[in-house]
Amino acid sequence: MVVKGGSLNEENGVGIKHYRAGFILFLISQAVVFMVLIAVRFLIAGGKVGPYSQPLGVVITVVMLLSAWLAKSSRNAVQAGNSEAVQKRLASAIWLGVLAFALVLIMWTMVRNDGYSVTMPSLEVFWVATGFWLVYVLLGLFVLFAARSRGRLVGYTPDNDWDLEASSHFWTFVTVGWIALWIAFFFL
Amino acid sequence: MAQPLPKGGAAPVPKRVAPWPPVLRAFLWAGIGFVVLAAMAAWLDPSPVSPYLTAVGSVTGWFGALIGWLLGIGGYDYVVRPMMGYPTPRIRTSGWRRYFEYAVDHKVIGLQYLGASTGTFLIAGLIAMAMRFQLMNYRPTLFHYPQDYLNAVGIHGTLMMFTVATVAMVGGLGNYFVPLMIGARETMFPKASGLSIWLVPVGVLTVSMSPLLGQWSTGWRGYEPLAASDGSGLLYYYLGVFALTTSSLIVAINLTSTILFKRTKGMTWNRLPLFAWGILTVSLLNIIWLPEIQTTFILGMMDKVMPLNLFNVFGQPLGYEYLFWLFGHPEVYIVVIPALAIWNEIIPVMGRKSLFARPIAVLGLVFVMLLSGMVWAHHMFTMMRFSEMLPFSFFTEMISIPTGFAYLAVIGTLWNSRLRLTTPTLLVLMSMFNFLIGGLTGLFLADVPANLQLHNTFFVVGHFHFTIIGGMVFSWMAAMYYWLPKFSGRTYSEFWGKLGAIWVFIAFNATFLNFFILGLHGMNRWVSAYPKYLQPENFWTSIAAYLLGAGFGINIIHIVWAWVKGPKVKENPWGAKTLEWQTTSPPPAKNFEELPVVVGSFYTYGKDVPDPVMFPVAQERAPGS
Repeated sequence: MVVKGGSLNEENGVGIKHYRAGFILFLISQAVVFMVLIAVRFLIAGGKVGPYSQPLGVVITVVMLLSAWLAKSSRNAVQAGNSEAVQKRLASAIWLGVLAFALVLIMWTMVRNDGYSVTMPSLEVFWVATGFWLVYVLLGLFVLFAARSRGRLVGYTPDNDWDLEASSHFWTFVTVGWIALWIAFFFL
Repeated sequence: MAQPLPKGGAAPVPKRVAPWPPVLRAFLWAGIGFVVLAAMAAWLDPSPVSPYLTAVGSVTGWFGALIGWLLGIGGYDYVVRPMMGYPTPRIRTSGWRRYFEYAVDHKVIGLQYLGASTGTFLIAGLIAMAMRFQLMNYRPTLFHYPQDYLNAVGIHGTLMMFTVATVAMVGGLGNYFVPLMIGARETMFPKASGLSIWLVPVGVLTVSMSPLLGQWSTGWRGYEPLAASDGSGLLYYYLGVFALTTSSLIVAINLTSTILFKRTKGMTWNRLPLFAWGILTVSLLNIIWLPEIQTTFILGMMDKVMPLNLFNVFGQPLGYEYLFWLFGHPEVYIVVIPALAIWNEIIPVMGRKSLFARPIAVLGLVFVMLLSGMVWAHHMFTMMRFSEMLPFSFFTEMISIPTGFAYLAVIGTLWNSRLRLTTPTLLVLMSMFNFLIGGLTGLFLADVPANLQLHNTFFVVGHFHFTIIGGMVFSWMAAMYYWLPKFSGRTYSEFWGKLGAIWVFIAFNATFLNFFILGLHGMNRWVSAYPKYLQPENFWTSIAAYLLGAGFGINIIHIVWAWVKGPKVKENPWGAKTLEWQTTSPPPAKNFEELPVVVGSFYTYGKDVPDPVMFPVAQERAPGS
């Protein structure tokens, strides 16, 4: 069992902080994906901001921030020993994530319906970058779902919530990824 | 081996799942995954000319197959269900079948990687033989159309780079030996590692079968805008590389975390074995550059299946080249750094002499890693302004300095040593010679005027084969002979080992030294037909290449024979000091009965040098202690 401040393998002194660090290495590797996408955005489209919906961009950002906060706060509920709140907050985080996913699809549809060419450089990079992000959203939703299922079947304790913590970190990463894309595509 | 530790309090069930071989289940689930997602794509994006399988469908279907394969091989039972709170089934821990199933033991995974790399090396080698058969004649013979030949070159290069050169030393030897060498019982993320190996067969099959969807002519680089005119087979090149690089990325994260956090007591950075240093530096490169090339390739793939103009002639073809070589040159060091580390691992043991300037040897690896991201544009000198070439030319020449540190350490160690000229020693010395030739010819290619003349000729092909095959593959063979007693408790025949080494060395040099001459005489790369005056030289080069292929075959057969039937050998036959030799051969399930404590350097030899390893509990229990 992975325990906070303790270790999986006492002989090697490996504890939760080391798993966290290993997980951060994974997140760093995935951050490179977003860096490349942003680099390609400037390579292909220069500094041009495309004709995508600015208000929807703000709404998606707010929805994702709220979702990430709920996922993170589910750990506070574990600390408080309130497993019902863990389930509710994770479910809310998941539904908000689904909403953000749907909003991006709506934004795509709006741009198409406005009659813009698919191959407009600022739109090309927008499709591919947000498409990449949607894949991360799907992965994030799956890990949140798995964390919720695990909470229901096994339960979390203040000393043993690594699976929930990792899921929450990944979802925060997905949110930060959106914010990076939002700033690069909507402002810069 | 003990059962994998349960997570979250879920008790393991004492029964294995999968009543039939997981590989068969994985194939079935992959087929189902392909059909479901390809059908979904056909439904959402119907094509009037191809109602069942479209280009989009072949891509989505591939992802469905990948997911089905990974779930079927063990991901569903051992990763996904436990992640959701269900119990973890028991994993097979003995018998030959464990090598064909999901495993969490790093040694099993290491051997799975070595098997996959060796098998792919044979496939890529056979393709190379076919290419050399074509080049024996200046007119098309075996490959009747240039596209056929170019596709063969592309598959050969892709398999060699992404399944052999990047994988054998890191996924194979790294997974097997790093935990042993640092005194750990397992890796940091064994479950992810158990899945990562199964991405390799997916990648190899995808790349090998890609011409069935249509030929591609871009080599292992997927160059734009050439790629825009290629067939749909190129999609499976991108996807195959995606699977292979994902596998290497998981290995990199797992081994980096393991080295950072699972070192045994006393294993300070100053005492970390050279091979572990090599794997650490390579893994850091992989963590940065593999996601970069994956993103680039997925973008290239989207460019082909969607109506986009990212990198074709209407977009930024040079942008693709920039992004490719940003990864492409560090890739060379991803391949070579473990080889440099192996030299310094083997020579002090065989010379019974302290490693010369150990900090310099380590710094060499670290600085090669740091500089490797600053040299990439020398691959594009023909497409750049002169003002842009200078810094890249400068850094390319600079990188030879830290590379030279590895030579410095080996030569200093060899000086006045009583070197045992065993097969591993011989292969290390050969690797050093080959890599020196590769490095010296690399200086010509770093130099702008020479580069502009030699670009796209066989000189370049000779150069990179000297660095990668001459440097990495020879070191891989040295490591296999060196660690054979550890893998199997058996040893090889010195006669056959040395004969095999000398054979491949002579055949290798006869083949690839000729490449330099061919290049200087005007032999271009990427051509299956060439001017008649080059035929005699090409003919003899092909004969040497066949001898090289036979030489590799002899070595592989010899190693397999020694592994299974070779004479049994005492523990630690080389008298090495690193931790992998401080346990039984082959190592037990959890590596050590008691975790060792490191109290000194592994590379210090001489009279009255204390043993660098202690087993406090065993020593306390020993009579007379």
